[in-house]
Amino acid sequence: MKQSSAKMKKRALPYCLLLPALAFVLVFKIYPLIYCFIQGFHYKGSWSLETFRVLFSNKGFWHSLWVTIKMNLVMTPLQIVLSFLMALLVNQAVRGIGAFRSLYYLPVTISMPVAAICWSLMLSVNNGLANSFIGSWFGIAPQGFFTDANQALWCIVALSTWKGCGYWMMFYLAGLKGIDTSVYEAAKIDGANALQTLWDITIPLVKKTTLFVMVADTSINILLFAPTQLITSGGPSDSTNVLMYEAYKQAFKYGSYEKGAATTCVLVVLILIIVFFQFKLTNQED
Amino acid sequence: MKRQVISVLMGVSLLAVMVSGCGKKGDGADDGGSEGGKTLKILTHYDAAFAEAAKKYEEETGVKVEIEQTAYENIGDTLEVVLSSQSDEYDLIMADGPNTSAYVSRGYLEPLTEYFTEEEKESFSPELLKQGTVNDEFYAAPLGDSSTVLYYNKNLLKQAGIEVDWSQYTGESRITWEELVDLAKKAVAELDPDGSKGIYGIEIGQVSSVYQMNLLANSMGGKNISDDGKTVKGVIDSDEWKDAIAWYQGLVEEGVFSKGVSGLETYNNFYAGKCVFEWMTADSYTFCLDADLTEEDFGWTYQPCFEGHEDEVATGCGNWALGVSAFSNNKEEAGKFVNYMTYGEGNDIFLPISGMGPNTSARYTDELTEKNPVLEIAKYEAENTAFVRAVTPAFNEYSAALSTMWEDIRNGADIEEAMESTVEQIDSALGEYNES
Repeated sequence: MKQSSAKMKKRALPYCLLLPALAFVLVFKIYPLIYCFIQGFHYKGSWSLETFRVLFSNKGFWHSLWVTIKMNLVMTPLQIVLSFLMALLVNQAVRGIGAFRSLYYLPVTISMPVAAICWSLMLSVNNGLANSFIGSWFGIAPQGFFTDANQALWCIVALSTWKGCGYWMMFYLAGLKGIDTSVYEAAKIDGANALQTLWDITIPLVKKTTLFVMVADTSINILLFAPTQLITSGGPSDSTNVLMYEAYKQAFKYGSYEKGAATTCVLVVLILIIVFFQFKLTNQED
Repeated sequence: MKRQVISVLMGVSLLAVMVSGCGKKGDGADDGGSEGGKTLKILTHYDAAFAEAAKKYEEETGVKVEIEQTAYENIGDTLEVVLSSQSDEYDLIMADGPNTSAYVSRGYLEPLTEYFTEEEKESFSPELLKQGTVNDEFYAAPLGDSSTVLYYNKNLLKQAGIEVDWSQYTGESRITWEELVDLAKKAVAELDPDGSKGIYGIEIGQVSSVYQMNLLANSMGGKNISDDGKTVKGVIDSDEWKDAIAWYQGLVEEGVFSKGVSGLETYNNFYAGKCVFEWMTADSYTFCLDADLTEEDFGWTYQPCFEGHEDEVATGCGNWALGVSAFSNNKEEAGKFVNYMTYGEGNDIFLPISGMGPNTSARYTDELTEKNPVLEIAKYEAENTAFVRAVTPAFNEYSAALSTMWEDIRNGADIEEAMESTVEQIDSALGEYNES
């Protein structure tokens, strides 16, 4: 009896230790998500698919969806490639490499609102640093950047990439550090050049890291909101009106929680579809 | 064993904190706070003005008013979150005049009929009363009124060698926008010929917002919404609107009006002597003084008119109004406080501190105009040229779509395309409200 009680306690311990974290996840992640789906399937207080019908018949929604997909098609691969290259660079065993790691990681430590304000000042159409630089050095006419419908989205991509790459770099760095150096030594003895080593050894061996970075980066990028809210408010000409911002507008500006929730449901489904394919693709060779 | 006990305690205490955090403010608790009296709560950006009036109110009635300060631009979003969850957090609701209709349609406001006599209601300016009334029921009492005025930087004009006899302009005989643009171009050419000093000709205080931008089209004869309030088609894409928009966009391209500068920054540019003319609200006089400017530095005159449209001048009006939350547990006390703050003595305390114009002509006292002389112009405009913003339950959608359009126009968007898309967005939102 005493023995089984001790066994029970031993079994319960991990759950007890997990409880605080689980409680937070339940209250702040799972519950809002379920509530969001419930709200999305309501129309004027009753269960209905009408909110989705209204949403899907709105041109603005499809435009926002396209902006979100377009932005992520460029931003996520760009961030993954850059992070990996940065990790390769800072993985070199040279003197003072720690300083470089810190420098590359520095943008991560700056809060997004501060980064957004700095970038909007830097890329200001009125005597901003970037315009002064390209004007005086290359004689290029002042650019609109965040005020130009053709440039604003890519400026947000640049800002988010600058801010995010250092973070993902650290995961890749951990992945690279985990590769046994004897594998590289063996490759060297076999006469593999740097490119072959990279392609045939490094990239396959950090596949699990890549999968994690891909999934996490995709989720974060699809939910990107702060730069749009702080700098462009979805403009100019709705060119930066990503779905997350559209959901925010519906819920908190127009007071339509049901439409905001329905938009968020679409976002969640979009993330799930992308992540599913990412898992499929990366596990194919296994 | 010790580890197990600690982890169980941690888990239980965490859940307890969470569960207690989920409780509503009024659940089982007495909302009364001040010596047996009630406590009312409000979210506002006019905290100093409210605090002074609330202090007097508490002395007289024993009802305490707790003031939660926030930035002006956060009020709408915060209230939307709080009220949509039917929270009793705030008893008193600050609504920007045109939002009243939207709040009523969502069931956020309680009628004020029993807290105001007919005589008291009718003492408010007709356009303010109209904004606070929905389906013949009075929901939001105006704290004050607003107006739009042209301010000029005396020092910059002097440096540019431009002399203008501002005293010649009156409500009946104003400077025209065309004349003003000429003056601005001349001044900037003299003060900042290569643009390196960042001096602007004319700035607009609430740039890209419907409050001020629509007045350009209104001053050419354009309306804000159809007479039945059900569409903007044929209204905001009318010739009057097209002319106003084309005029504005042309001057942004020429650099007379700024681009990529927020409303708040335009104010700061004026305070910092980086802008020759600023078209802003009458209460901006107090902001100028707060920014250490004196009447030696700046002057003011009536809002300009367009040539050929001298008799169609439309100036801004409407301001923040006060209502009672439909979810308040202290509706009666809140209703009485609304009366005190908008009709009663509280309003006399509130106005000079906030710098707001009065909610009725009768309240324009010498004391008030002495504190803010710009209010003399505001009084004239309120009686003669005030133009009410669109009254519609879809005002939030209307305002957001039009603000985006004005900002897009400023950034060089195609006028026809911008108008078409805006009409579609607003009419789609209006359609949903029309259906319900």
